[in-house]
Amino acid sequence: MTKKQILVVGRHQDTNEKVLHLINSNEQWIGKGSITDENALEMYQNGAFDMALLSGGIEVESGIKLRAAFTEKNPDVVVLQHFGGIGTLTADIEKAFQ
Amino acid sequence: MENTILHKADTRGEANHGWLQSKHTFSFANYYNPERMHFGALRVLNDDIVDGGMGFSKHPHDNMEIISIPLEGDLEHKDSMNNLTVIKNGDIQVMSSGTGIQHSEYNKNTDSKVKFLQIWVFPNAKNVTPRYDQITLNAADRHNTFQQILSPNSDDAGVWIHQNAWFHLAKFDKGTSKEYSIKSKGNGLYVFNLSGDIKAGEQVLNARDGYGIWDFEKLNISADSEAEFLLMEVPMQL
Repeated sequence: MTKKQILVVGRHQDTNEKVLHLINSNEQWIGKGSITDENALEMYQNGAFDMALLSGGIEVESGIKLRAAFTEKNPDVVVLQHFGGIGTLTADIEKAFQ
Repeated sequence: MENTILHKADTRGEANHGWLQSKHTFSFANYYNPERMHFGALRVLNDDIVDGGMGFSKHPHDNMEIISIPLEGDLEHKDSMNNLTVIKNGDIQVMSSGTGIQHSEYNKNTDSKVKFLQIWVFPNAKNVTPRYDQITLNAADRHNTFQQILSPNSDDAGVWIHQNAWFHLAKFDKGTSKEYSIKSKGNGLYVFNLSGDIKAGEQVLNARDGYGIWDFEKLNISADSEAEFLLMEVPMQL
């Protein structure tokens, strides 16, 4: 089974790493992270992500722009907002992939 | 000229995780509505019900002011600053996540549900030192008046946060009417009706309806039945 690839965009390195740890502890997912929009867009263009997770510290305007850019390249990508931490992260990702 | 927005209770987003039933006033997790991203600095207003013994496992936050108001039951909080506490109906908890914090929240009781409001406010300062606080409110102090439960000032009533925001709780008898005056120019007010029927200006609000108003100075709030509601004054410019 192909692993789902998840791009985590959050402003805070430490939080990003904790979110990535949660994601990568699921054997069906591979998470990669970025703390800047520019790097995230570059990673997204060069990757094959199934989900973009908008994580802690992403400004509302940045979230809107990133969502538009991600869906423009791949209308089927799942964009999940996670501004600042969600206790149901794993369940929300599972639900979003259903 | 004032501006307003109405969020009827049954138009909120919904999440059902089995153990967690949550209603989202603003976009959150798998609920995305570009028209409902935030009200000024108020980013999240979740109306949560958690089954007995269940809860949110350890997860990170940063740069967000997080306020929890239990409505029923007991919520156990544990965080990376070594706080292990229980908050119950009548308490208010605040967490400034700042440079980063991890915490978990569980229903303390195994035989009853916990109901609480989870509120996130964008801070006015980034990367502050994380802090945690909780206080017990005197319910009598909100009878037919506005009880301040949160402010920007550490020496003021209620808890404080890193934002130019004021929260009040009120419990009105039927027929009670009172005027709210905005505390800081440029702020807006979000009224969340917890129970009963009220009028915010001319707008009728039933249980769990939300109503935002900005570019105004005073708002009359009256109760058409016994009612309890939460007022959240927040900056409209981020």
